[in-house]
Amino acid sequence: MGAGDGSAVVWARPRWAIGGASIRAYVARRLVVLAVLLVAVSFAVFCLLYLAPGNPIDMLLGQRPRTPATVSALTRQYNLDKPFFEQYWLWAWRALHLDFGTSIQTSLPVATEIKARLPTSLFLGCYAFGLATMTGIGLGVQAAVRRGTLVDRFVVSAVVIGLSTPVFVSGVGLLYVFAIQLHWLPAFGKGNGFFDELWHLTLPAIALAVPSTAYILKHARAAMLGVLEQDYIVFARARGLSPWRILFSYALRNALIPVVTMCGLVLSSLIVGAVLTEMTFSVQGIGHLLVQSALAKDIAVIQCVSLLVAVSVMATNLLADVLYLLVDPRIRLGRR
Amino acid sequence: MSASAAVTANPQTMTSPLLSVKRLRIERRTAEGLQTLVSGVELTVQPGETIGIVGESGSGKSITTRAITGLLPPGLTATGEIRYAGRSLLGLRERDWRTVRGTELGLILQDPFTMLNPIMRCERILGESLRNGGTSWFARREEAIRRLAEVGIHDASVIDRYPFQLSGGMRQRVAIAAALARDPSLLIADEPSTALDVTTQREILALLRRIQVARGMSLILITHDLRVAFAMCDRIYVMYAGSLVEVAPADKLDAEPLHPYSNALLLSEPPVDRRVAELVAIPGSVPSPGEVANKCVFVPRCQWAQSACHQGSPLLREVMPGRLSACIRVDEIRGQMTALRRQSAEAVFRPADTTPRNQILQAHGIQKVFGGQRHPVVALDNVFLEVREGESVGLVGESGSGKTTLSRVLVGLEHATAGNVTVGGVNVADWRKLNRKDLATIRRTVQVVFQDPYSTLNPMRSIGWTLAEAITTHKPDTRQVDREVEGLLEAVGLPTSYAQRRPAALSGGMRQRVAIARALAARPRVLICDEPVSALDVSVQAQILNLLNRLRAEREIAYLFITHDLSIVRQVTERIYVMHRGRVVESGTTDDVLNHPQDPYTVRLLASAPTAERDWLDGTR
Ligand SMILES: Nc1ncnc2c1ncn2[C@@H]1O[C@H](COP(=O)(O)OP(=O)(O)OP(=O)(O)O)[C@@H](O)[C@H]1O
Ligand code: SF4
Ligand SMILES: [Mg+2]
Repeated sequence: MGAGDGSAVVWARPRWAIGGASIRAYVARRLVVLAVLLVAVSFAVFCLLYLAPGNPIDMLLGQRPRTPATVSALTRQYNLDKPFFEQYWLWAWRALHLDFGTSIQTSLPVATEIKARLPTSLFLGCYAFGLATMTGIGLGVQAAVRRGTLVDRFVVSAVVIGLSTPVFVSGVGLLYVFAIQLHWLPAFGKGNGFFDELWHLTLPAIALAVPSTAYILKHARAAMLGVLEQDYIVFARARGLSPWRILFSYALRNALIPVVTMCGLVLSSLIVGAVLTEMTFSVQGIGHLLVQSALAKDIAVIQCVSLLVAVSVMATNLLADVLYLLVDPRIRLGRR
Repeated sequence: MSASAAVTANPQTMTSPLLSVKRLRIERRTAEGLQTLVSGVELTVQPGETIGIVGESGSGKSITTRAITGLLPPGLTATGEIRYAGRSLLGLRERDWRTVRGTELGLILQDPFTMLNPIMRCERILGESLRNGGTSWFARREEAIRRLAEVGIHDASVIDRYPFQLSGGMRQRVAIAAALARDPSLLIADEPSTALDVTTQREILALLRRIQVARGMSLILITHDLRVAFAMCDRIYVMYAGSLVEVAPADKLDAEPLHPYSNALLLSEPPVDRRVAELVAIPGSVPSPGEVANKCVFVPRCQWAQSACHQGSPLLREVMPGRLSACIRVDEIRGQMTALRRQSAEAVFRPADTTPRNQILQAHGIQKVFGGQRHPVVALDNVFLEVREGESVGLVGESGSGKTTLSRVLVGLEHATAGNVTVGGVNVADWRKLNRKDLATIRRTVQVVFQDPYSTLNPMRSIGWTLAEAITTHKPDTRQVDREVEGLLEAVGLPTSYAQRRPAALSGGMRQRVAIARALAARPRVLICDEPVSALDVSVQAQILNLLNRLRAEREIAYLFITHDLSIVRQVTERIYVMHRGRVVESGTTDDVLNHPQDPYTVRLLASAPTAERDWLDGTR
């Protein structure tokens, strides 16, 4: 077949059709694993009720008076008279329908409590994640491109500091400087409406993002340095391609492949860091709720939050892996 | 300007050259100061001309091309003068380089496996390289397909593949198409075929020549193989340790080199058409440019060196019309160099006696299947092979033909799926079932020398320690271990003081000698040499081949010599087996097989071995 009749094949193959089947199979496999993990985690979470000291009824009663009426009500509600595994099953079934019982602190359904706070936490998390990835990748790439210059050295030292400073230390520091001394940003609260919220959550988001930024930056810089040394970069320059194209479609796209996998890890660490940040900045989010409930031994809330955290960590990791698959054709199509 | 006076007098440079390089010097900034990597390089390329830059590894060929294209790695700086069509390139700003690279100068790098962006389809790689950015997607795709056809890829579906889905040869073709996308007038090809299989090598070279002729383009071909340069180029620049030592038209250089280094390089290339009595090896190894500053770069290895050669680095000067040499004694020693070449051409090889001996290594009906039931890969298919005492047997084939798998089966690193192996009278069908005595017999019978000596020597241990360990492993009651170590070092031609050195302090050739010495410690009857010289410089290759030939005569060792290089098997073996896709396609005495090949694959392999003849590349697609 020569060049002339080549046009016949031009449309022969849809662009994304090649790897579709294998990706679907992979995702399906991962979903099965996720489901199994979920059962295991939910079982562990359910067991929290029994692991805590004292008997479950006392735990569930909290400050309420112990009367035969309340005891029997709780026994019925939590099926405490049923065999252990049946209890779990019934609990899990209700959890599946987002019914986690009532909070002993407020006597409101746990789901309502969570719903009230989830948006704030999500907002904070996304804000911090956005900050961390944008600054981390941006500065990491800058540092790599200007390897050995003052900019690079400064960024590298900042990484060391960022990685070794705990969230609550940087949080208190930021609070002191920007809220108390300079009055640039509010010290606490979450604000109303998108922009007010953005305004209020800026300091907490920065504090939360610091370690993740440093982590992403470190890896982005290393990946970029590795890629910049590759022959394909030299070959691209030798063909006279524009520096922007080389930076974005060559260097950055290749360097981001390993960074994408890390984002799953980063998200998980953000979820953990959020607890401390929300406490430091008195943001009424899920982390705040978790700490309050832990102090009040509010077991139903703890169960719900734990499950929520576990599910989001697993989901983000799955997402990161699938993303990795999508961006790297060598994995997607299977190296020969 | 005085330094280049001789060059400008060259009639070839009188017409305005497309590219001219003068007094090029490349330096590296290190903690200890500036280190010179390349100095005094002078090049000219005329429109439509093909020049070759020939030199061994580290001689500075690649960084010279990088300097010409303004792509020196960070830390290296170039000074001197580089002019392209009258325009000075050195010191051009990155923005201005974009008007030169791709459109005027094209560059292809050494390794096709790393040159293409791994996450881009060929369509994009070609499309973005094309000059006219404005045309429609469809037109670009059509054009990309047309460009692929120009480089011999007529399967349009290749355009939708990623580089990792293509073979090395295909990738190199795609890279060539991409480098040519903006129709440069000068293409620089840095060892475009070195990383490829022998048969693919020839196809790529033929392709480059065809394109060069069809487009009337100039070509700079970088290679370490003089024969390739002779077959491809009009003029040849010979580089050594960062300096040019000789410049000559290809045919003239082939007929009579005018520098002891080019002469020696020519002599140390093993010929494929006949066996020579002894290859003329260059003693020692390639120095770094720093070691030979302010004297003739070839001084440490030159048999004609005199005190005058130590005084200042000789400049390239015109010794005959159109011929430049950096040897100050060339007029005196011309006759002697010619005599050396004649002597080597006339010396006839006297074959050893061929009385049948006992068999020591035999493989019978070997089958090896890798992978599971679903995707079985047959690496070896019913292979028969035998080696008799004191005999040297070659095993020839391209990468992937199963040579290495077979050698691994022979020494028990891999279990054959079916078939029988006999080593020194011990049947080793299943290595796992052998007792210690049999294993010891086998270890004493067969030893292996691998391709990469560095990876098989412990970097933390001295050479003496490594050899002593090998000696005591095979004969735990050896008393005078140090004496034995010295004996081994002497046998492989290394000074005994090297026992104290670590592998890192040795050159590649020396490491390979150590690896051979270690194998000899067991006093084996068969040495399996798996590509023992392919990682070495040409001038060092000959040393190792001569060493192996000498050891064989002294110690009565048999060899199983695994290689892809037919000119090497010609020099060291009496019988060969030719392997292709896991099967032995032809076997017989080396002379018979190489003079009258029967199997089409052997014919193709033989045609792929470079010869200096210009018609070597004819008859390929
Ligand atoms: N990126 C670099 N940084 C520092 N030194 C380098 C770099 N690249 C090459 N060199 C040095 O420059 C010298 C010449 O190297 P170059 O790659 O040009 O050799 P070559 O002739 O192309 O060899 P080969 O045949 O192995 O490709 C060597 O001494 C090498 O160590
Ligand atoms: S100048 Fe001297 S050392 Fe150098 S090649 Fe000539 S004879 Fe040998
Ligand atoms: Mg090179």
